[in-house]
Amino acid sequence: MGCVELWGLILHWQGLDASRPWLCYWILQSLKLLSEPLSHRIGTDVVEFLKLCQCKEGGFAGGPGQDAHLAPTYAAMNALAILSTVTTPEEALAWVDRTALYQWLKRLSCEDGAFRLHEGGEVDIRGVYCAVSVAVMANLPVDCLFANTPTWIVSCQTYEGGFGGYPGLEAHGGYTFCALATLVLLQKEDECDQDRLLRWVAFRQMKVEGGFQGRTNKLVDGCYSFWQGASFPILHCLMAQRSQQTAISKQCWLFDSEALQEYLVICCQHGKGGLIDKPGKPRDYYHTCYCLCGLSIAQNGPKRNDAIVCDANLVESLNPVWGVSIDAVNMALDYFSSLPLVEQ
Amino acid sequence: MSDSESELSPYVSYRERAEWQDIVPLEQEEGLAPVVQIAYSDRFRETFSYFRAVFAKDELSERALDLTREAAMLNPANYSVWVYRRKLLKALDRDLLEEQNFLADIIEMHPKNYQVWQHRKEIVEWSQDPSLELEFTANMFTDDAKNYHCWQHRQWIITRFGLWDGELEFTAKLIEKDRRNNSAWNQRYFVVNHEIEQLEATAAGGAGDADETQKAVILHREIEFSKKQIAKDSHNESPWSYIKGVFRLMKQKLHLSVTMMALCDELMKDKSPHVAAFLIDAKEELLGQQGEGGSEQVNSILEEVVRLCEILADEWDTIRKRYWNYLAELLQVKYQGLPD
Repeated sequence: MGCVELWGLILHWQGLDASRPWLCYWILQSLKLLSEPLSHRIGTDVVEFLKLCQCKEGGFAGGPGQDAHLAPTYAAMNALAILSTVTTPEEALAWVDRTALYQWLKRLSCEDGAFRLHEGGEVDIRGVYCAVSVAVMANLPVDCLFANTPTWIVSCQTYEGGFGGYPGLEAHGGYTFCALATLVLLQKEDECDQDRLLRWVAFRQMKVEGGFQGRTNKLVDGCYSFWQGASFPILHCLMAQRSQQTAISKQCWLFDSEALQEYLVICCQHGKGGLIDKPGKPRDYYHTCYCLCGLSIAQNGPKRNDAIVCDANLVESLNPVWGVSIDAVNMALDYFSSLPLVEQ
Repeated sequence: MSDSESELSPYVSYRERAEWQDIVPLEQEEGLAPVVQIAYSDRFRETFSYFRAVFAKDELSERALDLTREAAMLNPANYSVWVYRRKLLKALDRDLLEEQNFLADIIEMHPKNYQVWQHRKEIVEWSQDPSLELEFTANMFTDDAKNYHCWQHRQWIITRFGLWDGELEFTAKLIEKDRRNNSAWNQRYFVVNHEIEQLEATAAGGAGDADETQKAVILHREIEFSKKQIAKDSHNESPWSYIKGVFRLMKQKLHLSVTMMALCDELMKDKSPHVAAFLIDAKEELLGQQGEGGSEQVNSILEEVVRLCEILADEWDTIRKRYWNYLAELLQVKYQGLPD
């Protein structure tokens, strides 16, 4: 497995200038999965940077001095969760302004339950997922804020069984992940049609390549290993709790995990380290992160023993709802739940 | 490349421009131990330092507007720049048609960027003029007929301004061109769904059963359309999901469609997973009607379903073996009451 570049790196991607918390999350999550030790010093440095990205009005921006936006907010919170295991929860999380965050989320909410990604910005299901994810992690009051959200999410489920980014739009892996993960976070997973969802996501695995496509009749891409792959452990959990419990396998997720691992390990590793979309594509931190997350899901079945070839390939487990390692999620949830409730 | 630096006019440093002498550029905060730093070009660094300066003063001027254009071209994903630009356009009461032309160019360069499409949507909303949009999106589809942002914009335009006329034909054209264009099939469903909603609205208004006949006409039309595409390639997933979706929309049963069931029987020889899956779904409908609990008829249908799942798991669709095995077991437990 190739190494991911460590800190002190300088990127030649000006287009990511409004996505710097994402870079923190993608890199930290990748290193975590690879069991790379992270120094306390690196942890502190990243925490200090993310403090510069927090906005007075609440939430986080894509870079110091920019407007708050739900996507870098989600990424920052995920990064901080990981950092709480590198430094301490207090150091990583105590300074997050939960009151301002809550007020900002309220401003972004729409009457129908959807969320704008930023003030004056677009509405789509990413906004919903990012908002719910940070609200639940930070122990914010969710009942009022997300009262209509499950209904809105369900209206995004298409005739194919997957979810689109907005009602009427085509079923898509990234948006489907947002939908399912959000319903789970709000404990409303029964409101969608899980059987049709399972059928759709199962059909997104490509029989030749072994990896997943994002939409019907489109090409395979390593990042969908996570966006599509994550639905399997989630649905598995949900179905095991219901009448499907006898049918659901205790051994494996309901996709071909060997085929996915082969696609990732054989086709998606860049010669100089990092992972990619498909052979011929350049490497980037986004694909590195999500290929590794997908690999984690494929290797760590219900019994955590599905790794092919040998244990040297084995990456750590993660929580599929957040896309963050289990210990990091729990550390953050524990810490925030110990804090007083925020005023509504 | 994720920026349009090469598309901009030759660079004259802001420091050297007479009209910018009064502004002190604002450097970006990086803190004492910078991380995830980006190697900005001089032009990028300077442009954004000047942007930060005017943004901090909330300056609403022509030069600020020009600055946002430069900044947006350098990093179209900088959403703060676009929000500020919209503020400026409003304050300066600028010509929105000119803005649409600028947008047409930048969208062409960055077709998968969220901000440029949102900006276009906002401009159309202000101008209340959708007259360019159907043609604009249709043109974009000639480069990439599956561009998600483009489809989102087109659906918004149609819904917002009631431009449904001709959209069914538009989807047919795209499907003729590429029967695997799932976005086009999705759009067709979008249109048919609206047709049905309109019928039901009229019926609710007192037209009685008229809508049931019209629904049947639409269903027949869509069956014939899908059948034609399926005949060209029964391994193409799109028409199968589509027609099943339409049946569901109309609350009609798959197994009661003589046309579809005959089509499936005829196409089994192709060994398409979608044919087998359709039959499984049709037979599951039947099982659902018979009720749970093991009559001879139920057992017989169940046996057929299990056999189909086995063919899929072992021969026709082995990548989904685990799923098909699960489905077979699930249905057996449900309809035969197999012990745990």
